[in-house]
Amino acid sequence: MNKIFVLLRNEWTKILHKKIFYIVLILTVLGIVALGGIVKLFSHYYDDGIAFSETENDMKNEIHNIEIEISDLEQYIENIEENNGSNQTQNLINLQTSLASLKHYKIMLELGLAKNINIFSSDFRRQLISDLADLQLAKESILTDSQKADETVLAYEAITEENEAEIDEAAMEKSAMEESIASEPNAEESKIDKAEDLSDFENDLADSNDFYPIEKQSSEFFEYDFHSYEEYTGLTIDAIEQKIKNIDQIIEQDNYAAFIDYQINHVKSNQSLNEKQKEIKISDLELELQVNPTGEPNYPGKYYFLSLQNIRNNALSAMTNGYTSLYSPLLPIELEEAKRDYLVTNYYLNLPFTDPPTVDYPIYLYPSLAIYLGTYAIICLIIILAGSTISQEISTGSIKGLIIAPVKRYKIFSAKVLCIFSISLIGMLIVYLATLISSYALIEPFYRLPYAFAIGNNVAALQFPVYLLLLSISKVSFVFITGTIALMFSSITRSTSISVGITMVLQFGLLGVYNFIKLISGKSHPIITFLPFEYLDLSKYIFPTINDNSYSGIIFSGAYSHHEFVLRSPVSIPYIYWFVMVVCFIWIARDSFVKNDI
Amino acid sequence: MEKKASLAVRNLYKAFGKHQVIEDLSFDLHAGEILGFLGPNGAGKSTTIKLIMGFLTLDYGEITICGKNHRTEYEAAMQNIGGIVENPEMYHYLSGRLNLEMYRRLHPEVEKSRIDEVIELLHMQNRADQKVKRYSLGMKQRMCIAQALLHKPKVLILDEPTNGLDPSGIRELRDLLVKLAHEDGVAVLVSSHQLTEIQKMCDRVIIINQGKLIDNQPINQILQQTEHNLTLFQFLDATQMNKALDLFNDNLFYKPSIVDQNKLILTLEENQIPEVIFRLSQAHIALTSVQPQQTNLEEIYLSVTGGGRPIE
Repeated sequence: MNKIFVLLRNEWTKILHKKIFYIVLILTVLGIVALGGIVKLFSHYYDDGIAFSETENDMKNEIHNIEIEISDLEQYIENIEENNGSNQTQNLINLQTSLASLKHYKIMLELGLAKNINIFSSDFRRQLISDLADLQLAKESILTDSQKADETVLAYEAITEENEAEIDEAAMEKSAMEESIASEPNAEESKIDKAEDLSDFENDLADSNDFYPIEKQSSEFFEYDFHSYEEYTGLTIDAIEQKIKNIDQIIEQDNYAAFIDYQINHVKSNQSLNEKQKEIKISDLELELQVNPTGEPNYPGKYYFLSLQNIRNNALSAMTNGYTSLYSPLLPIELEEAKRDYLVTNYYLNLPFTDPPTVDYPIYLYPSLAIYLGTYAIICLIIILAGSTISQEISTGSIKGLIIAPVKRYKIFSAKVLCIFSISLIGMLIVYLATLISSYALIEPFYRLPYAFAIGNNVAALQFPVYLLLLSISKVSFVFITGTIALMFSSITRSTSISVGITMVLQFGLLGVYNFIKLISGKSHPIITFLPFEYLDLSKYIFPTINDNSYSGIIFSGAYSHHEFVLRSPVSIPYIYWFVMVVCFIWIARDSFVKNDI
Repeated sequence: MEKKASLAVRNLYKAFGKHQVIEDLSFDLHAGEILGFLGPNGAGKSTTIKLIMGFLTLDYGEITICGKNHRTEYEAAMQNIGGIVENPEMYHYLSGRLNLEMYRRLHPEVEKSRIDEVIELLHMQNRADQKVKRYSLGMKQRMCIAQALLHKPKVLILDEPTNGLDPSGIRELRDLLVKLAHEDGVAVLVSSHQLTEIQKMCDRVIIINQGKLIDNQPINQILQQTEHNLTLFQFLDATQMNKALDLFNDNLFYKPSIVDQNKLILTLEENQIPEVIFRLSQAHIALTSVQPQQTNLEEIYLSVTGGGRPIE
């Protein structure tokens, strides 16, 4: 054993005197730093708010445009009513909703101009103006019982009723389908087919404009949430006047804290929310005041907070209501996912925010991108070094010094395998350090945040350097197995160019084909599981976030989806597959090197 | 009692595919002995050396180094051996000294200071820290010999050790090997086509051809055995020599071989020389001189391997 380590030391002496080793490592580090620079360059940092004076003319123009739109839309609705009668009821309702929204928007712009408030840049001021618009519409509705207001109310009610009916119908249909799946526990194939049908069905529902909830349509149209004015129509005129007065006061004071108080009161009085939802919304508002005390339209961490709040609220809503954001009933696994979403986002939102992240999407991608880039650079290095370790020594004759030495050939071979492993490890540690340092130096204190994941009903967290270290080390599996492939070809062919060439083609060519198939056919396509590359990179099984963008993905990968983080047993197909492949590659290489003549 | 061999080769067989390269080869190498290992190209010399050094696997046979079986006690056997095989090769991107240091690590009993000793021994002090790729062939050869001597092996196997060495280098190497063998008791096997050098340094010579041993004798014995057999006859002119050849055609036992236009060599026993002179005198052939021919290893080698000048 001692001799293997002596030989390993000799292998490293050789590696440390090879220029290619330093060239690739330096290029890797420079690449990682350059990537950080590029990401930083193209990242959008939130600017200060836009002054009212800068947008006054824009708002006037917008009013003019909206008036034209309203006029066109009214004419269009009139034509439809005359020509088609009740045949296009749904379309008509949608159009009337849009008309109502446009009118609401017009009132907001007019109020903004009257009160010198730029509604494009200030969230809280815009919210106040929106509420004022709602109150004015409600007041108008009560006082004049105008057709305009009634039409809008009717439109909302009709759509809501129809949506509820369709939701119930969809829920029943889905429930029937689930029961059908559950009733055939042994028919796995059938189960998969039906699950796919279910998935298609859900997608169809999501695509259906008819089914889309009205709140969603409205918020997309205006890019923000507004209170529907009909919630005020039950109030007395005095109460509405009082509310208008309160809002005017807050606008006049331009006091963000007062706005938050107003919002909190609004939440408390909202009958549609349960106590838990109220508690969460109130804590969100308090947090907003904490991180943005002056109510600036843009502030450090805005994207971060809003995204987390959005996910947490969606998760809580799903858990409370029992259906997804697409209004389909939650499957048990979706409920679990929602629970984990809630736990992780809640964890992040309850951290003490002294210096929140201030940048947007691309920055979040940086660590995983840098590790990805670094991994492939180290893979190139390992292919070159492992692909030449036996063949080059034989072709140049330098192997003689090893063969003459009093060591058995399998020890020489073992040292070479250990060397490949140690290069993989050290290479990835260098990638780790470069990523870590450039993350801190170039990007933001954002990386002070821990990496959180749900286990059962608890949240575990890794500090960013630890998380990044584990991620880098998990990538060693991919680098090492590639090295063993190159080593195998080096030993069999005794030709550096052939072994490096074949491994490069396998790694970058076929893997490209594999990824292409994966891209066009979807992750679940059965052909993927028959290709030999599925399980070479174990990191995605150790840290699914990196590829699947799970909860902490919002922090560390810049995206969010419903994939889970699960601590998996090491005895599972990917690990077994990887281990068997490594053993096979090494065994073939060893056999060729030890038994054949030199 | 037979002296125990430092290197014992027994019934070696090795084939590459259907081509039998070594066939039933056996020989011994003793401590303090320098053994010349000769044979024409393709005879199997390098294959034999590679088998001993562990580059090739044996088909059949046994190799013992200092009593350790090559097959069952590989590391212990190889501990006692040092050498160079074919061309001198090292890691060209490392310095000579670092190459030696890496080799030393595999022999933990060797002190680091030994590196300086062998460098000095091979006169490489000024070049030891340069990268091997800057070395000439001769310098590489010296460095490889230094490596072979680094761990003070009991058996030294050198394949074409004089390749690339200048005349003084060859002489130094010869002196060094003689000293190692005769003073330090190292068993040395030298394979070379430099027969003059082999003759000068070796105690014994084995010759193989087509994988088989065809001669194995102490060098003195070979030379003594042959030096009185060949006799040079010098005639007055070519006419006289031709007359002599006609005369000798009657007795093919003499195996006449023409050296020059008026010189030929006969293979004669010592007591036959007066008889031949008498017959030439009777035939009135003008003979100017008769002298026993001092043979060298080259002539013997060529004669034995069939590659020498034909003696009809």
